[in-house]
Amino acid sequence: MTTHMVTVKTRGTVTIAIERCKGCDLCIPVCPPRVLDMSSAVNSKGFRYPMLRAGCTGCAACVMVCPDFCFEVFKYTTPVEHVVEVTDDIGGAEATAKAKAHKGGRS
Amino acid sequence: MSKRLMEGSEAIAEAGVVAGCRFFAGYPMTPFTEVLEHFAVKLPKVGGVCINAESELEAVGMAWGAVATGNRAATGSTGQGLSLMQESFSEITMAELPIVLFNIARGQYDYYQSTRGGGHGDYRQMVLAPMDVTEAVEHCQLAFWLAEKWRNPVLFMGDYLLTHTYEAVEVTEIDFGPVPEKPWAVDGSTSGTLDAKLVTSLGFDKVGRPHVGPEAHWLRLAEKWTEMREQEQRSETAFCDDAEVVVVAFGTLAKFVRYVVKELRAEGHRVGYVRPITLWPFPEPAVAAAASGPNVRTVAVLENNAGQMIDDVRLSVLGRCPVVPIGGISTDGSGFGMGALLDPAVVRERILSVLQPVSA
Amino acid sequence: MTVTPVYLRTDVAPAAPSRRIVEDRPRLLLTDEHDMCPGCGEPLAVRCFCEAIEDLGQAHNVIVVAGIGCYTTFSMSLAIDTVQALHGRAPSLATGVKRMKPDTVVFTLQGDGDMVNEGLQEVIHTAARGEDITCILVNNGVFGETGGHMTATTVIGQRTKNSLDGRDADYHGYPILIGDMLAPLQGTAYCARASVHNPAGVARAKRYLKKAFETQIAKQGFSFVEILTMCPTGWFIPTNEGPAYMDEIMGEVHVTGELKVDGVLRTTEDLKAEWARKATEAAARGGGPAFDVEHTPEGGEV
Repeated sequence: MTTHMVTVKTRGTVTIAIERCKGCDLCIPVCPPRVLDMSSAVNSKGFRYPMLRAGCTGCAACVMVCPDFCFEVFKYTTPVEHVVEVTDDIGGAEATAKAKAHKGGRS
Repeated sequence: MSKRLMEGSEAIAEAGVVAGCRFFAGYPMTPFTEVLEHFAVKLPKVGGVCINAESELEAVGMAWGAVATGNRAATGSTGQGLSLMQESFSEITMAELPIVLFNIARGQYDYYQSTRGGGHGDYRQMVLAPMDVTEAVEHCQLAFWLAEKWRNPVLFMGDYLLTHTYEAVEVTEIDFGPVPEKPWAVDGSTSGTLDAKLVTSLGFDKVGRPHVGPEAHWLRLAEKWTEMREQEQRSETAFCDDAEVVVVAFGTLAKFVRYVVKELRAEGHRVGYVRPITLWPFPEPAVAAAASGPNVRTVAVLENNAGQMIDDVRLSVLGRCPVVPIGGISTDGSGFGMGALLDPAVVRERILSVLQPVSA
Repeated sequence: MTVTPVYLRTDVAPAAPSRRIVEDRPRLLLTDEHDMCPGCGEPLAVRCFCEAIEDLGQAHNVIVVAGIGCYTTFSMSLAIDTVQALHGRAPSLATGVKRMKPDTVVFTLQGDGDMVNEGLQEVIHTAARGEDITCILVNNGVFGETGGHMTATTVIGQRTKNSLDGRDADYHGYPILIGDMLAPLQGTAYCARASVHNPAGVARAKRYLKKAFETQIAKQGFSFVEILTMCPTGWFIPTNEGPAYMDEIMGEVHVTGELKVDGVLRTTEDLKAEWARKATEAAARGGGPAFDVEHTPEGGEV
């Protein structure tokens, strides 16, 4: 697979209180642009926590499902353009496979 | 104001209304039912609420909610119904809510239940035992006042005879003195602020306030009950200075004892009585003093059951002299109320059996 | 060209001009900390009613009567005047409170063990009397606080601490759908069931709660909102399987929707039929649900 640079228009962003997170994973599949990934590192309580990639729309779905009130959501006055290195596959089969695997809860 | 001939249950309800009670909930059960009926008629007239609850369990729950808002509220039943309410009694006491409880007891009375607490844990409730309708009118109002003074439930102990006797009584408001403010009462207005309130039995409070916890909370309550015990004993003692026999009785049965003792005194017998008015705190010093009279041979306990108050009498007398039961189980065909014991002739005979024991 | 690191900073508010559109915790909570299990749905239900109360301008005019369950911890953290009730007893206390404070919004917060086991008589009579209170049921199909035991709402086949082989109809009997018992009562003005296992469910829960409180404020009678909440601990599943379990197991029996609104009465079977009809229509249009796995990120430009 080749990589190249894309500009990802990001309309919003979040802050995440990672110390409060209990690693429940509920935010990951509900994010419509799929910009949350669980970390491999753990917080001081031993839980993995979500990390944010470019492309957030500020929809606040994560807030709605987070039992530990970890997220605050911001909407940019002007969308920010992030330049990210991606594989050709972004938004396609790889993301789909990843999301499906995640829904099955086995990854 | 003039006296009016009233059935005991109506006088009690009237006294409650005059004392400012604005919420009552109950479930019909003989011989308490008429108290509920009268509250149902009287409370709406003064802007209060009386609810026929779906069971005694919900009746005490409703009164609990009402009293938590800072309003004067009460519930009641007979012993069996109060049995259902016991968990709530304990919790309401721990939550320091000034609820008034009416037990219109059946034939065996409920001395153990009301003074030892049929509920769980370590709690105390004041118990008032009026002997007639006139005293009931005073005690009903006193109950509401004492409950607020101490932030503790107060139980009014009546029976079939009390609530179904007509007496000419005057029900006017009695001023017992000032009562504390109620900063703990919830009304919803401190919601949405850092001063939001929590009414709970466990010594917890809202986040950010000092943490007390169950142990410290219950220790403080125990101290409160010690103060209540020291300050709120009430009893009536008569003819005991030179008595050979001291009779101890409470409630409506005690009125028979008073009558008979006066009669026996007129005939020259040296007999006296102590009538506990508060069953909790039990007037130990008064009973002990009466039993310590120079001529006292026997303390005779007249109660309408197999022997419940006699335990407290024995604890008060502490071996100074024998304590004997002269009452016993006595009830009518329904089990609700008055049996053969509630008869001056029978009471006289029982007292005489101790005054003039038949020699072996 | 500056390459953005794969993961962005999330520990501080953004530097670029922006506005915060959602706060982390509801304003009616005194703290954002709680010790509910990971993946628990109850805090989501709490958020919903806190926001509903604020949206209706009742934040300074509300009293909650709390039952006993995992959620009881919120008695201490809710910035709402609270009366703590015993297990099952909240509706009767709420009745006493409301009768003395008829213009204050009064609601109960109870779990399924509390309301449908211990307090079944209580809630039915409160509804029948048409008390102007709102009872909120957080239903996870288990007695969570005692460790995850079977309740009256546990579904057939559901494994709990005292139905380890799954609830068996012959031995344990059938679940009670409390909404179906309350909705037909004349005193019930509004009755609904929601679930917080996904954003659409959360939005629905909040909508139903607002309607319930509005019903109370308009003094139309008893209002009831059941909110199905995930309990991965009680369900013996990993936290991220909570939504699927809710969808496939709890939600098959306790179907979401409005059982009574504006005088229209429906049963859970009616709600099930309605969902089936919606699914058929959606398939026919070729569109899927809002958060389909094939959805591509907005704004991605190649």
